[in-house]
Amino acid sequence: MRRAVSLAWHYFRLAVMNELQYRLNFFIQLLESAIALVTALVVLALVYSHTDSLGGWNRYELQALLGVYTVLMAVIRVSMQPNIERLIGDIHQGNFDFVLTKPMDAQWQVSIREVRVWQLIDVVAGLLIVADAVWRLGNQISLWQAGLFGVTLLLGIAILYAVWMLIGCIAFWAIRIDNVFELFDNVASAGRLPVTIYPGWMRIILTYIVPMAFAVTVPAQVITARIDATTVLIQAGVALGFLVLLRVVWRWSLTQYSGASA
Amino acid sequence: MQQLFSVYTKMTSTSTQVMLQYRLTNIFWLLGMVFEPLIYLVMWSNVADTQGGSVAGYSVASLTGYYIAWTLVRQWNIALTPFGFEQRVRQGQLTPLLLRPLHPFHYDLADFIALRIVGTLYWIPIGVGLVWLLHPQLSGDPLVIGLFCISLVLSFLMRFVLVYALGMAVFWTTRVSAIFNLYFAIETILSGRLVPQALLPDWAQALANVLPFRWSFGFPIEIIIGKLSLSQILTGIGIQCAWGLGAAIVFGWLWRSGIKRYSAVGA
Repeated sequence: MRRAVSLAWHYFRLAVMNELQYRLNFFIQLLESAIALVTALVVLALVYSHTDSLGGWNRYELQALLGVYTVLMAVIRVSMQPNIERLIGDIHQGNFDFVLTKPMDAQWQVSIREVRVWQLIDVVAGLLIVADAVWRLGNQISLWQAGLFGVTLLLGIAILYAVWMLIGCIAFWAIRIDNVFELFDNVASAGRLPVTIYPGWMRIILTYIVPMAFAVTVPAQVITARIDATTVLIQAGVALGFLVLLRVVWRWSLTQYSGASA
Repeated sequence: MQQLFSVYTKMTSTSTQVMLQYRLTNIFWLLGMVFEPLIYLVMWSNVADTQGGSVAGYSVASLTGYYIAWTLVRQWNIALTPFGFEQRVRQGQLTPLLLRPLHPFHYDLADFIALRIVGTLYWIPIGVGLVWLLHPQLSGDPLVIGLFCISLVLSFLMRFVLVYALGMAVFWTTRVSAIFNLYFAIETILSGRLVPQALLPDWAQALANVLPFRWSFGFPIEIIIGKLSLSQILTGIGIQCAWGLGAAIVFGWLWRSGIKRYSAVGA
């Protein structure tokens, strides 16, 4: 366990040192994050210039949701997406052999190898949006609530990790899966709104297939004080379920791998 | 001229056949493309519901029509982005294209026309399905439909030239992705992709009228949902032509001065 964590830390340090060589990229990323954020906030202002409430959420509650969404999507770009891209490349080129021959657990290895450091800016930006929303709502946030928000956010990350890796496992069978990811990205963008406002069939997709309901809506509900403990427990259950499912599918996928280079 | 035409027909038909091979890829791509407007539709329908059935003159039925037409217009809105052009210049892929008998622009345009044809073929069942399921408000007048088709093709041509011209910036510097992103962000908001123009604040509507974005996206949609009078439609088509021609002239000038600076990296 300690070795696993320290390996992840070393990969992270390596990525940071590598990226620090290219400081201009930091400013470019800063500018691009700012553009994306301002666009999102403009849309928010636009919606609430026509109404006071969207699906029972007021402007700053929805801003908090948007912040959570920004954080989670950024985490996908920081870590999951680059790691899965590398995994797919390795499978196709036979380099996956090298992962299997190392002593560390293969699933853990392929999950930590890549880090896009500058994308972390969006994580910070998302958290700032949440903080600003909470401040404007004027609610008193207890320490307990803040802690619970952190926990649900981490559970949300775990859920998205499991789902994205599950799709990545398809690469053991199919050659081209970039379009599957694009489709999932599009579906995931539905997480910008609370899941409750969607029609039934979309809610089913967003709850069971691409569980944005649990990943994004639940943390946002916690921080805007509109939730009970049961929902958090269900979220934890969903996260655990997806992680176990991923483990099972991953092991099964490994038996399918025959080594493309051999 | 006749030679140019025959090159276009040959290129287009070859590209069409190539692209028709990737069926699953195309279907996934289309499904993803339908999802985006669905989110906007849910959002604005919800707003319309809370405001007593309509928002800024848009009822739920006309919003539905707007976002269904959106899916077709979005198809015809795809152009060779500056990012694609940047990659070409950086990796020296432009060099072999310069050796061909025609200007690279023609090959690209033919290629993208083929994509539009394939995309539209795939779109038809989805569009019909959406209309049948969601009962949108769309114009059934043959004249309006005809004008819609014309403006649809013009929206494609004008945006294609405009975005292609934007890509010429790459001849001077290759790190301008942030500027392109800014351009596309403004386009997203003002073009009608995100919201119908009528839902924007007044000053933004005025701005959208003088900038090109609206004319390559929101305008054809507003035609087919019956929001515009005949004279408004004809004026709009004229504006589309003007933007397209203007962009073509600027593009020609940028290309001639830019190509001299091109140093064929990687060749």
